[in-house]
Amino acid sequence: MATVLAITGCSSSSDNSDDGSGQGPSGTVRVGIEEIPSQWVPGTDNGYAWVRVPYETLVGRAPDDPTQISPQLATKWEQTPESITFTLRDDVTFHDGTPFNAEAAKFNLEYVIEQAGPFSAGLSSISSIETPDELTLVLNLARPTQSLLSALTGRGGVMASPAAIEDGTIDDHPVGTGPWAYDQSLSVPGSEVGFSLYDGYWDIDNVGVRQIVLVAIDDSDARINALLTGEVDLGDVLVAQADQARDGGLEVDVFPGVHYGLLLLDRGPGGALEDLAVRRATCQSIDSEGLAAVGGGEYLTATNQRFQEGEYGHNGDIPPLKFDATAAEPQLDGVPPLTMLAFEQTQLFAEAISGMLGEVGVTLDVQTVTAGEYFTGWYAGTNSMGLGDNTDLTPEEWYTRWFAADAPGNPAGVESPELAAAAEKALAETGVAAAEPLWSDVMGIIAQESLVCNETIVNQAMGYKPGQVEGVQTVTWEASSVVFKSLRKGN
Amino acid sequence: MLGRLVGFRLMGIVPQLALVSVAIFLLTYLIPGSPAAVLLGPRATPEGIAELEERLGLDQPLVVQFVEWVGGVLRGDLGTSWFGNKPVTKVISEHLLPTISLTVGGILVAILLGMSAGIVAALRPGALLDRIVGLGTATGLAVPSFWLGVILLGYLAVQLGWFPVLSWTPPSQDVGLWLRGLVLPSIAVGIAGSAVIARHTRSAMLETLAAPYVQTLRAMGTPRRTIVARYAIKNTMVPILSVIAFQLSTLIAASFVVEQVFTIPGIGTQLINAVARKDVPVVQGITLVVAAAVIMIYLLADIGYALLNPRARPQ
Repeated sequence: MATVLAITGCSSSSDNSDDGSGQGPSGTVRVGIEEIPSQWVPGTDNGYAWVRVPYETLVGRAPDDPTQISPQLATKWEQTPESITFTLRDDVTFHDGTPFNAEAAKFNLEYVIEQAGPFSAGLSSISSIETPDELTLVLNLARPTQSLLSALTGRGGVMASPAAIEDGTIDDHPVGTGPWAYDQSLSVPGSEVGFSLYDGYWDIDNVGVRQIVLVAIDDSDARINALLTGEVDLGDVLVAQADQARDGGLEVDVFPGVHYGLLLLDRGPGGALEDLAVRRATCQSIDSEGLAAVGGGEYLTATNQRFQEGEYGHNGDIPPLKFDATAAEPQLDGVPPLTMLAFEQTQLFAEAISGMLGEVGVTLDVQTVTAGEYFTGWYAGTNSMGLGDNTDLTPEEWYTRWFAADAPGNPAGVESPELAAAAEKALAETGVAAAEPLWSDVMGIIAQESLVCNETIVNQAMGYKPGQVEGVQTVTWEASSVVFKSLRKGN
Repeated sequence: MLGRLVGFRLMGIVPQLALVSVAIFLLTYLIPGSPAAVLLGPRATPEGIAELEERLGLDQPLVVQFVEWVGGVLRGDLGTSWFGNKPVTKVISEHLLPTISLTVGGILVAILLGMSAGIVAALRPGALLDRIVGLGTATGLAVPSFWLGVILLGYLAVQLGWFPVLSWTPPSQDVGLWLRGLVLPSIAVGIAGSAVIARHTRSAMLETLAAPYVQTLRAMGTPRRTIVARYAIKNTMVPILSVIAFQLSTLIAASFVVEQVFTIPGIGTQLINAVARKDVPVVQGITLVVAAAVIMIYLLADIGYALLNPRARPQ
């Protein structure tokens, strides 16, 4: 059964329980991360996991099921086609002592929208924000949406002190409502950012450690070495190095972190991939299992669709992956040379795809470029296909980002009437549960039209020394993330 | 005389820096791709990219952008990081100490090890020690600094635990740990330079020891140790000084890579990250500061050369 995306009328009871030790938060956990966030302003691209240390959001996500929305700074909410009304906690203050209330929440959301940063698009369904009283926040909607709550759980929805944003200190010093406040005495410019327990935190009984220090360790080998020598307690490990880390005595949790899909872009009139039969044959000629093997052991998992069984929008009728190069080859006869951009992280897979297509007589020219050139090239619409990081958590987000006629990830700007009609129906449906089968239909059409193939789950890994830190709980679909509150310092 | 030399060289710095500025500005703009697209990420829309480009001034003609940048540089304003929203001068000042520490550590290793080895080798040419130094310098030149760093870390830090894996501790926090942390990266970054200095020192010392005045000193019964320590080293230093200056500039570049291996938050790490993100103001700022530092190193080397060798001073 599919997980229901949002819960209306939730109570504020917390899922976190005391560890039973009867002791307060204690100890310092040092976390090895790739890079220190360059700034802490809400809505900026400031890293996945570490933003959770000082900041919180109106609503959160269950660590093992990110589609399950749970209360955080809002105790309950009610969604209608026209608005979402949140009731906020009455016992929350920012680390600078200023109160968290509806005005502060409004300030933050408007700030993210006005900044036009990487997360403002996720809040685009908000037409206006009202604050009828101190603890009530009303988001008026420009259109019905099922993805806004999901967007509010992410980096576009973090709540920072309006005073700190206004005076600019937020760039260097995060001031949120989270369990730990920025502590300059624990920080080293450019390499370590330290946080100490915020005594005024509203849920202090469920916090396990007194201090958290984020340590920037860019090199993956150095991160493993620092874990082995105990210089950090917990840290990102490359999945390809998971066995090496385990051999060294580390515990490594591997969890689904990011989706990747091969998007067939050149579908416009006269495009190399305009013909449905060609798109199907293209997908058919790529060996997903072989592609997964390219990344090594636990790195990739090949799937037949974006949303997995149990996730909102899953379509059980989509047939399993079928690799059949022999059947595909005749369909691909006469296909002009294809092009694809790749950057460092996707180069290996892009070249593997190129090799597989070469086996059926199709030339795929892979050009490895910088990240900047990659994005520019994608929007320019000059490439036949591209590997997209499908980080979108809901079918609505996924569809509007990649497949709608006006989607930024659809440079050809084409969409079949069937897909447009099905999506319109799903978008118009106001009930979350009622919309699910409609989104499932949309997913079916996307698969049927072979707009994307070889959906792949890219796994992430978190390493730690058993006994040195306890309560490590990774967060699905949030790269590098753990539930920081549940961490306990070991002996 | 020396004042004239310094003045003359200082005047030469101005056109050098002007040329470097033009080169830096143009080269950073040759990096393909839109910085706005990188900033906004995969969710960006073409309209959003255009809006951000306008906000960053990227829609202005290149000449206008250059004039604005140079104007800022002359006022001591290197711009603001597009990613960190932080003044570039602050980015540099926050990360300068680790790089300076590593560079100084590296050049100390290079000078002490290189000169000692070169002198030892020159004292008995063709003897076993000379051959060992020859082999050692060939190896030192062949081994990449980052590889040596990985090996040193693996054995001395991870396996034996003698040194920290995370090599940077600010001296304000713990001087002992700061020094201990710098040992391995300084060796990694300084070893290639020590090989070059050793080779040059050996030949310069051999040449000095063959000089007539040394023969005279020997004939007068001056002990060899005194000849080497009091007379020969000073004369050997004259040609070695320019070698050291050159090594210092190449060592800065090597330290940028070694910083990554030893997790040292220096400006090299910042530069590499900025290039990857196309954070143009940071790339320009760091490159300009490094270029200025290299020019200053050569200026100081020239002054030092003139101090040691009066014939090099302008007449």
